[in-house]
Amino acid sequence: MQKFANPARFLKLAETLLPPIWGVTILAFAAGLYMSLVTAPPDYQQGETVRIMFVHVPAAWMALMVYTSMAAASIMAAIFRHPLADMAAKAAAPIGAMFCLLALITGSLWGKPMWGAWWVWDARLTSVFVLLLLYLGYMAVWQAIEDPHRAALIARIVAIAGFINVPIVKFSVDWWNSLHQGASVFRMGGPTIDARMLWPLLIMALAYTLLFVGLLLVAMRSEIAQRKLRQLRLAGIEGR
Amino acid sequence: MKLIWALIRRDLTLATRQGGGAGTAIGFFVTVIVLLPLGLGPDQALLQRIAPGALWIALLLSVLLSAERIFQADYEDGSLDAMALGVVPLELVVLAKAMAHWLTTSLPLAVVAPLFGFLINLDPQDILPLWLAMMLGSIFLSLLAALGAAITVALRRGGLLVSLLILPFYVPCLIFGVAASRASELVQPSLLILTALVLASFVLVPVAAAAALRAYLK
Amino acid sequence: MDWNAAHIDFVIAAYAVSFAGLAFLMVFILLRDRKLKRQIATLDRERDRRDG
Repeated sequence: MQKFANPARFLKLAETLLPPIWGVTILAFAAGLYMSLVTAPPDYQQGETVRIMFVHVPAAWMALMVYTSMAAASIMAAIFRHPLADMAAKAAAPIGAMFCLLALITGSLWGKPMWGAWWVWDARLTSVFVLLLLYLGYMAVWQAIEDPHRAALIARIVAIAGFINVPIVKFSVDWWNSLHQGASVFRMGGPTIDARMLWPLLIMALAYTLLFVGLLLVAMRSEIAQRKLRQLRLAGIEGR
Repeated sequence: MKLIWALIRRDLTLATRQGGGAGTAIGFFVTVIVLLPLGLGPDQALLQRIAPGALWIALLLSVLLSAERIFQADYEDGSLDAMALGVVPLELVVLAKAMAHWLTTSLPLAVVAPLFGFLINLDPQDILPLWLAMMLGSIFLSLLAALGAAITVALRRGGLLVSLLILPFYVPCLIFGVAASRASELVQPSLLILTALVLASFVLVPVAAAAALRAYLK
Repeated sequence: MDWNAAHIDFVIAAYAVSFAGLAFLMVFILLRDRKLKRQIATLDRERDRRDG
């Protein structure tokens, strides 16, 4: 683990990993789009509207996954003092916020024809909205505190404390009666969803994950660059 | 233990000498409750239906309004540095200050809230459950306010950040608090969950808030 | 895919919003990376010139 603590080594690793990641991401998106729009069958109840699932569910999964990895990175930063962990959490936040926003918007577009309302205040929707607020709050901490070391310490606390919301989002459909349907893929006893719908969903989820990994690497590279820039500027001021 | 009492007593004295503390919060609380029927129209049935939720929201906002003050003065005049170096662990200092905030701000609000419920036609049946739920929930609100105050203690425009960071955590308290306030019986699942929230925050908030304060005191 | 089905506009809108959002995010992150890289290059060059 400590091997990747060296920024130079990380930059080299990112350089070699990024081209194949972008390649596979494009392939996965192409395959996922084809499968979800052409080969997946319409639902016998929801008709063609069910196709919104293939963009809505991966975005929602990613919103949870990204926050979980942010909290994990923050814990790593707190315990092992891994210098890249704080940067990873900071770089992941805007990406997760976008996934969360997209999950809310596509969910709204799905809810209007199915439930007859753009938005209902049930447990799942409310807790995902809270997740978006947590992402924004986390980003606001980095914005508000100038000293990067201090900002990192505070941001860690926010990320770890906010993690409480993730299980609430996951289990909200089980704990409260909700309009939102229950889990049909990750559940005890295997998925209850037809294979012709499951595969496009999984491919799209893979595409979203790869996009996240690629963007995260780039954003972390930017973080390293920004820190270097700060040091160069400080040195420049002192040198004059 | 004696030192913690001393800390709480110090904050209580400061609050009473300066005034302001509970007064401002109650003033804000009353304003919200009075403005509500003006905005919604004087429909008694409607007011009765929304009364518990409205009182809870007013409580939540009033506590949030007073959150910033919990650590600010002590941070600015250096008392907090002294407390961090003292024999009492910073976690317990946080707990003491949160309790002082509860005693001076949240608890008085929770005590008088049902009285103002009459202004918005609160169902007399709901008074006792609402009272109990608010007394309990206000502890949670004060602890969370202390966490928000610790996270933003050195920031000039911390107010906005406090609301953005703390409102998400207030959501479960609001949901279960309102549910517990409309009870047919006094002790029921929502109240138990609210108790669980209070106990969990009692342990977790001091740890997190002390970590945040240490980051600023360095 | 039946293009005349009920609510098809909602499906199209969901896909359009998703890909617009992801594209915006990508452009934003990639442009920021490039801008920072360029700034560092400029500073490095200035320092080299000054130092010798």
